[in-house]
Amino acid sequence: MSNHKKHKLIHIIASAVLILVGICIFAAPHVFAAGEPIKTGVTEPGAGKFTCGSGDDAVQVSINFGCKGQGNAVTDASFAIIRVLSAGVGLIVIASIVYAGIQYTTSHGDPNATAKAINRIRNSLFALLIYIFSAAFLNFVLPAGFFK
Amino acid sequence: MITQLFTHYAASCAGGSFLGFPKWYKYLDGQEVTSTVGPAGAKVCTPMIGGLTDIWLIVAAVIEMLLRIGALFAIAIVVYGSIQFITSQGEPSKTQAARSTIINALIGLVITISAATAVSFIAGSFK
Repeated sequence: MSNHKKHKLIHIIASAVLILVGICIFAAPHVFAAGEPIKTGVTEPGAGKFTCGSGDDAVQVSINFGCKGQGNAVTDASFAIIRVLSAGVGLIVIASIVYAGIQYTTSHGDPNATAKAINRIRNSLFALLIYIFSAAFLNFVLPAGFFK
Repeated sequence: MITQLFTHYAASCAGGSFLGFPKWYKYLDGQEVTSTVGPAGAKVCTPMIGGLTDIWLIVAAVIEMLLRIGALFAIAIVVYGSIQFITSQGEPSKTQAARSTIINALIGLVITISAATAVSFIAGSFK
């Protein structure tokens, strides 16, 4: 078997194993149970009524964006979404670095593959840097601290 | 058949998991509900998503799975590199390839693990 074909076979086997593992991990049993609806989290009475904005501008939404209930509804919701996204920046960067580590592990000593992994790490660190500077800029431009 | 498979291994909200992998709803709040199908009295976990921020709790659990996968890959590739080493029969180019395979696997493992501490720290600060 040629080297290329061997690599392809290894890839197919590895992805099959990963898919199997993924099904076992990701499948919450209730999702597959017949006749049971998937719960979306709005379970308590009164939930599903989250307020964005205050006074006449207030809007009731069914997704909890994390609005503060101040000022205009649109700005309130958009700053809530900015807060949610900025909470996840670190996690996404870590996920990217972990993936780069896996890429490095599976490089088999191939310089091209290691270069790709290093490039991924560098890019994710740049992304973190860009986020930090844009957050600092937004905090500087806006009078009220929306990140608190 | 596939329904039976999953209800038979009906998971509770806490406790054991498959091959040491965490569940995707590990950090979410969950309610234990008695299953309507499958073995009688089996408890099934129903994870609840309260807000938009809970997405990151799922991401944290997925990162933990990635860490496990990375460690498993590293073990497998170190074994593969050792086999390369054994079958090299002292040929310098082959031993060099085997050595770089093993070293790269270990470097990748170090990269993966050093990100792990940060994950548990961030996920802990969400709770």
